[in-house]
Amino acid sequence: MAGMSPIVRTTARLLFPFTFLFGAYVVIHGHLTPGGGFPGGVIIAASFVMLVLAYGIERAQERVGFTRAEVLESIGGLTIAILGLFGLLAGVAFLQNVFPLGEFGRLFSGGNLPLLYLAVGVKVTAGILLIFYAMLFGFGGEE
Amino acid sequence: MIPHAPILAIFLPLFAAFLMPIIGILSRKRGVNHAREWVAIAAVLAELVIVGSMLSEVLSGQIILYKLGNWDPPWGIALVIDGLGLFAALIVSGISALIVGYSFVSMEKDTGLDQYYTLLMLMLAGMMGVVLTGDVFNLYVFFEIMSIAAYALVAFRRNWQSIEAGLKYLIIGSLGTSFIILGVAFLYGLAGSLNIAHLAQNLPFLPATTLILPLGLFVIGLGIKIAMVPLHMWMPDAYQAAPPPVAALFSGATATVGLYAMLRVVYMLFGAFGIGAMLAGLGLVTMVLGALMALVQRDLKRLLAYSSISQIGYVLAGVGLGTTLGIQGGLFHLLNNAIYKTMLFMIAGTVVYRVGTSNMDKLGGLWKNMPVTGALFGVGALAISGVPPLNGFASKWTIYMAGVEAGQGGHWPGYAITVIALITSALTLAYFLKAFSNIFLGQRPGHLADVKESPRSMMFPIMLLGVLCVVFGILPQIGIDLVRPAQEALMNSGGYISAGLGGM
Repeated sequence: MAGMSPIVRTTARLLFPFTFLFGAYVVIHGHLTPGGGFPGGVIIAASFVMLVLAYGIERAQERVGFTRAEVLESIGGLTIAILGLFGLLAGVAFLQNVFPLGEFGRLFSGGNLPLLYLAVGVKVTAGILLIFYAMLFGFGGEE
Repeated sequence: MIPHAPILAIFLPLFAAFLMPIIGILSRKRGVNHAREWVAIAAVLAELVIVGSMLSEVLSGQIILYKLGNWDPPWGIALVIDGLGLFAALIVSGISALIVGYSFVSMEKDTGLDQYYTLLMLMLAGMMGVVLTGDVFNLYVFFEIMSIAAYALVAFRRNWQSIEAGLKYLIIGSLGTSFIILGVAFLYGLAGSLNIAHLAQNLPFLPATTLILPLGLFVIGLGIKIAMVPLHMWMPDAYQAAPPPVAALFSGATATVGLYAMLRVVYMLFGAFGIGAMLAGLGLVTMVLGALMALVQRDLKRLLAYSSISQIGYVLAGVGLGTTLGIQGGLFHLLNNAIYKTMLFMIAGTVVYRVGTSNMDKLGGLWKNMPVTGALFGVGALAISGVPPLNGFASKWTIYMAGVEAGQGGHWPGYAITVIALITSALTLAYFLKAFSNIFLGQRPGHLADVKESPRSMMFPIMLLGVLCVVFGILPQIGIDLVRPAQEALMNSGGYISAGLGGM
């Protein structure tokens, strides 16, 4: 896949930071505003997919390769599992909150909830990228 | 009991599943061989220990209630482990441990083993979730986890046949789970709760006519999952196309989980509707049709798949009788079916591993090459046909006796069950003798002259299961003792309700 015309490339390059930032915002504010790890992760993945479409698969893979996406996805899943274990070890029940709750409505509040959203965001971003790469490979006949 | 054992039993395989890709990447970088296999074996053995540790509590008649996040039922999600749940959990974890050991050599020629072990562990997590949970929506979610991993595993080898079977399974299976979720939604609308114990407490007070729709949805949805006739069409394709260890896992563990869900949801929630007679009727149809279809198969794995359908019919018929003896026989048969069907699929896997085909027309005379495998296949075939002194005889005999007992009690269909089950047993013997003579006896094609005996590490789990077949056959009392807590749990929904609601 070779990439598209300069107009598309420039637009994609200009849009990328904003899309990425918006996705990150949705993930990080998951416990305060509508949205959260899953939609935010999809938005971040969409910003990468936009670059892939505009510049071609080779350029995008230099940034986030197949292996790195796979590792990130596993790390996202493991983080959720380990946060759950924290609750089991330090508290009473699986996934129980052991972190300070903070003040309601502030960014650093809600105990382990923002951390969980962050892990979900990483996992969803990497997962959607992996699905997209896998489909590209499937059509290209690689691997 | 190990502290927090119920949640650990679900958490451990999930953790192992997430860990698997990282281990795969690391071991490739460092040049370590078989790291994934050993991690998977360690995970399933730890799983077996965790499940086994709950045994003493449940055997002493206790029902374990584990509140997730410490929220009280019926508001929070709870894991409720009674005799029936632990019985299924033991079968699932035991069979999975053997399958992972068997995969070590059986799958060594395949690529993409990261994904294989990840999916296997995910499937184990889903199965443990289904059998341990006390919440009907949670049950649906874990069923989906299990099923999605299963769809991918069927299509794992990515040839034309397995992709077709995987897609077929995906579409029909998703239809089944949609029926289940719709049933859950209706139940929630009617009773305002998702906790199984709470539902079981409240459903008798609802007008019966409103419950028919959710009941039908559950029977169809779960019927697709356990491949009950006439909802079985996906199953032979899926079992034939899946890699042999996966087919063995499906027939041993997944079928058990499906039947567990059927018993837990349909039998315990809707028990008052005379649902037993319906299950027994469906069981009889399943039994006979599965056996008749198995009779004409030319492919060993396909034959075993139809035979699985037939055996599921026995379990449904036994449990459907609703008497102590019938339920004991049905559940005992569930255990035995998991043992010998896993064993037979594993043997089919070793034949494919050595010869490269499971088409019985192209096989023959393998007794000279693989005598031990042949002997074990003979044991499995006789056990499944209900020939004494093997375990199949013990459980089938219990079901026959239960049918006669019901008949003497004035329910004439009891006799019908016994007669039909006996005839089906003869049919089972017929098609397994055919399979045995086609594979191990008769003329040996020239190119099979230097086929070797099965590898030892594949042989070990098969032998273990073979020994279990004989032990449960000679000493059926052990099996009945194992099954009794599950039978008592199934018949005593009052105990489940009070324990599941935290003694309220």
